[in-house]
Amino acid sequence: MPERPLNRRAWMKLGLAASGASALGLGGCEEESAPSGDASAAGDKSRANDLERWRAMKAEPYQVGDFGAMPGVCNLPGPEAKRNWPDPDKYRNVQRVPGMCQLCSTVCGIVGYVKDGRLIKIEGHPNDPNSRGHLCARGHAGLNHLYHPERLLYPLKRVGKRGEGKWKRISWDEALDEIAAKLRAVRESGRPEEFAFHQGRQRSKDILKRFLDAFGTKTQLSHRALCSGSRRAANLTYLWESDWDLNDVEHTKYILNFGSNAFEAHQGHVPFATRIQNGRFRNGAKLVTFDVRLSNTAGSSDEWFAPFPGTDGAIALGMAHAIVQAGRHDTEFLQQWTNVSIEELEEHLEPYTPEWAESVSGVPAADIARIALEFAAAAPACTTMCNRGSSAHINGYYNDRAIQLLNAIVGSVGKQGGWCWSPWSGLDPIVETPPMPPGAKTWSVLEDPPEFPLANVWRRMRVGEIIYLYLLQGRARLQAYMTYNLDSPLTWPEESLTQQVLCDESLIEFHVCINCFYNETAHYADIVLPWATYLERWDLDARGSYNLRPYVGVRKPMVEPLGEAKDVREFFPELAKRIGGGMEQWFQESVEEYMEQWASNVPVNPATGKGGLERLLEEGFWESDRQPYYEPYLRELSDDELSDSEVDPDSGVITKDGVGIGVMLQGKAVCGFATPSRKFEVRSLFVEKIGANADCSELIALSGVKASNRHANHQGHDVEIDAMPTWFQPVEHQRLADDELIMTSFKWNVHNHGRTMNLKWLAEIVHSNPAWLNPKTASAFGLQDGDWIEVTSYHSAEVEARNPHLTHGQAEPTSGRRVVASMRVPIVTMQGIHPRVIAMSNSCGHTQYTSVAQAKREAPAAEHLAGSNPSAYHDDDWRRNMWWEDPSGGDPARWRRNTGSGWNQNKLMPIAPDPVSGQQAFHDTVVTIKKVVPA
Amino acid sequence: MSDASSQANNDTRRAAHGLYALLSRLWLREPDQALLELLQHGDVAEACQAVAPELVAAAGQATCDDLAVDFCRIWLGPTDHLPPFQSVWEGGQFGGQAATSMQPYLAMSGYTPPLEFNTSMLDHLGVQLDWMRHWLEQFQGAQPEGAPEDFPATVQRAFFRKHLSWPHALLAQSESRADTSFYRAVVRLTRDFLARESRRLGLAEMEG
Repeated sequence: MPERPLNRRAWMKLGLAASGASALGLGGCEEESAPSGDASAAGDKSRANDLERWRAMKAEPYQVGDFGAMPGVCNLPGPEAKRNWPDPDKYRNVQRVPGMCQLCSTVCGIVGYVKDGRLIKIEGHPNDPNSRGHLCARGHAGLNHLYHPERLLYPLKRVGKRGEGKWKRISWDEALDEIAAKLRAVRESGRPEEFAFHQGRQRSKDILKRFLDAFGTKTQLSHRALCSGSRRAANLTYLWESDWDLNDVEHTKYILNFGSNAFEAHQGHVPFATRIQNGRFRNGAKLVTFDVRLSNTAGSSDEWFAPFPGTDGAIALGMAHAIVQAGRHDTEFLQQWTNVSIEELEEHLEPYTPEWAESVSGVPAADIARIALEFAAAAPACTTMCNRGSSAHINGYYNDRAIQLLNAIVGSVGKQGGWCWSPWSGLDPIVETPPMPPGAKTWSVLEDPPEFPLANVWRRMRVGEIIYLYLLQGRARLQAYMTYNLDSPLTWPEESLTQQVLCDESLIEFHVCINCFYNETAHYADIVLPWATYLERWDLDARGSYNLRPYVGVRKPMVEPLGEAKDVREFFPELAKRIGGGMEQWFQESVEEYMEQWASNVPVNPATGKGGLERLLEEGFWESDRQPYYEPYLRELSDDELSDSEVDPDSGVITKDGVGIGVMLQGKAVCGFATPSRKFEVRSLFVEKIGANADCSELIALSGVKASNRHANHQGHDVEIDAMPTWFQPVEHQRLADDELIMTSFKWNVHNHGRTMNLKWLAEIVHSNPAWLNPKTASAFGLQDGDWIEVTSYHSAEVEARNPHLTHGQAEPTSGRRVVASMRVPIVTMQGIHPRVIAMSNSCGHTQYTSVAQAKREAPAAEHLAGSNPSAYHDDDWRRNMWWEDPSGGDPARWRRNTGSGWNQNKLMPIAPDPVSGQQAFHDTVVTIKKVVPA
Repeated sequence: MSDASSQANNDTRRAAHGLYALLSRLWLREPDQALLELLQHGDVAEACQAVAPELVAAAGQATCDDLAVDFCRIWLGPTDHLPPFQSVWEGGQFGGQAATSMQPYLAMSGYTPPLEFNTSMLDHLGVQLDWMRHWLEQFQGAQPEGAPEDFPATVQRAFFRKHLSWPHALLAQSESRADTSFYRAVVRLTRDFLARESRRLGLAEMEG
């Protein structure tokens, strides 16, 4: 619209009137924001006439296109950027700040280059003992995360109906007052467990636990059951002291990979993948992969087999059978270090022949036997590896238990180049937080559902996927719900059920969402708090290290948080003070003081004279000089340890005050495994008993490891668990009809599940997720590459049989199958997928995340034609040059390949927990498909 | 320069100062009741009636809550909003060159922005308008001793060219995105004023 023709007098009059009214509060925010008593602030007239500063600027300080003059900008590709590349001054006078990535769970060390208060580059930190300076694409895209134009910058309060999307800005004071009032009421109601804290990826365990324990609720919900519950449970049955195998792939000769896409999506991602490649190229290791899909890991392997979904455990048992039958097992290890005899093992494995394994998996028996013997021949420098590919199944616990058994049979357990672990899953225990409040004692069915016996025995492995259903069923009530870095409608199964519950104020009375960005969870919140990114906040952090010894790294603010974003370390103390009732006593230190205390035991570096936090801030990381955790079971007990101990004459188990500390081995007192028998427990009496709610206190005491008898509320929820590694196939897979397929999910190397599709550099690489189908399958359904299909998914009959309380949804009159949902998607045909499988990647299909995540670009304005005029060049790559925007509106006839933001696969996925561990089965869903004929 | 001419220049500067003050207030924060009162009654309201009558009318019809919702929807989000930051419109991210180049202007003028606008976010349109208010307030037409000829105006022109000539697309889209007549009027007033200022400072019309 053109400027209106107004006379000068009218403008003058308004301006003069407004100038006179400025004392009433117009303009001039400086007066209210200037720190009191600060002479350098607004009132200091001497700075107002700082001609020297003006002269120092020499010229106009900002010229479009003059990329050399202004530091601090990471220019996206464009004609001017290329013309001025490389910029020799870009990294002059930068500050290098250590940190740790958090764009996936691996938390690789990073170095931030900060210039004039702006982060201009992120690279891997060479001092990180785990990632050793490597950083993936996600890590580099942290700049997109930090400076994303749609970040949440202010607290927001809902003003419309929940889910309507109407908000207004409120101050932090208003937000904290309202939240505190609600939480105080929950606390005073006598039902503190009705305040649930629900976390997505979190790396600030200490402060969350501090807040929740101080409040008095144990209802801390997590996504562990969506991630790794079965693998952890299987490992714990063998080891007790660790739930995480750290395969020593760098020193190995043979890697047997059951379904893990370690080059793209493993929790140990870069540290693990680089070590696998070192093992292969420096050590000549062979990598064999079983995966229903030709992942980038499978494609990089020496051999790849595509088994029928969920049959990893059957293949492993077939291999175990082949090794034992061929006499290639490690007799010494089995006899000394497992709690079964070779005869027992042989008898147990007798039915699991390679031919039987072929009958269920489709992998040729000859290959199963051949690979088994190759694996055994490489022992002890050989290891299995697995992850969600084998564990995210209804039979995932048994899959992983069978897989891990192979390492015991060939004697690679704990050996260099073998199947290892460490008791340090995170920070070196040398660092200790300031005193923590006593643990909360509440119980909630959401946090500890009684139907899943191994979910919360050794570690808290909450069965996250059932919580919204349980709320809908009225099994729990939430007065207050605080979500943190969570995107449950996108990452949880049954999107529509999740949305229904989040929207219902009678089920969730009050919802506070803490996040860096508005997303599908924030959409259903009552208050949204802007969270500081991992580049703007403090933590000490570490991962289970593939060096097999613990370490400590630091995450510190590289730059000031944008807008009014804050970390929980900053506002939880303030919230605790407002809630009161004693909570405040646990939040006395400033963040910096807290960090200094926490890191105070980091030893002094003799070369620099710096220790504690000072050392971490300078070096980024500290790693102890402990020996790698090889064969820990052989460590001899000291005289001190043995004093006042007793030896059981039958088992050789050494106890002290009733607690197991070791075992006798050929006349020597050694540490052994941290299990009740001090052996690698192939037969786990504990799981058999715990499933039946039997008293396990004696076994727990013997182990010396913190574990629990099941809660009194679990009585009546017995689950039969086989003490031995075994395997079963879900009933719906056994009777899979010709027109049925099994849907699996996967992840790309540039994304995590719910948080990275907003990052332009990553979304440009992968932004959509058509379904993969084998060409033979496509042909059988009359489909061609690029066609659209309607997928209809069904609940698991196996889950319903084992956990009838989870049954919901309408049953089809003819088949009796219960439909979860239907969705239309295009297909791509790929040879690299099992013919009975349809696969879709996750991460896609956002509806409330940023415009980049939704592939919605801004319409180009006339003056914003990128690159058309170098003299007026604007770098419009971010939002206007989003070439993959899909204008088809979901119309298959208009859709173009490789456009759009994809589809949320979790619309189709049913709630399907492994009945033993509770892990969500993301790879078992039975679906039917039919071609969509374009209008 | 005659006294009359000097007075006219001073009035022009004071008027510009007042409009920068009014507009920065409107862009930086949601209106409160006092601001709505100011726009409905008294000298400002009377003068505004001639320049932006729809603003006066809208101020009388809207509630602070309604306006806070619209302010949030247009400029704060959380979705489909138009962040009023120069870097976002020029480079697609917060903290671009435009934010960096604000720093020396702040340093030389002694201006302190609102607390939430840290170094990566100084290029908010409201901060830029407020910086101009501050600059005009600091000099009141006086030529500092030892300064280059026409120093205050030189700086104004430089600043305006670099930091107030950009928001055409923002303004156009904000006007169409606004739900309330109040914010449509705010956007039009801003656009008209910046066009006049561009001429007053002897600069070319804003692009577009």
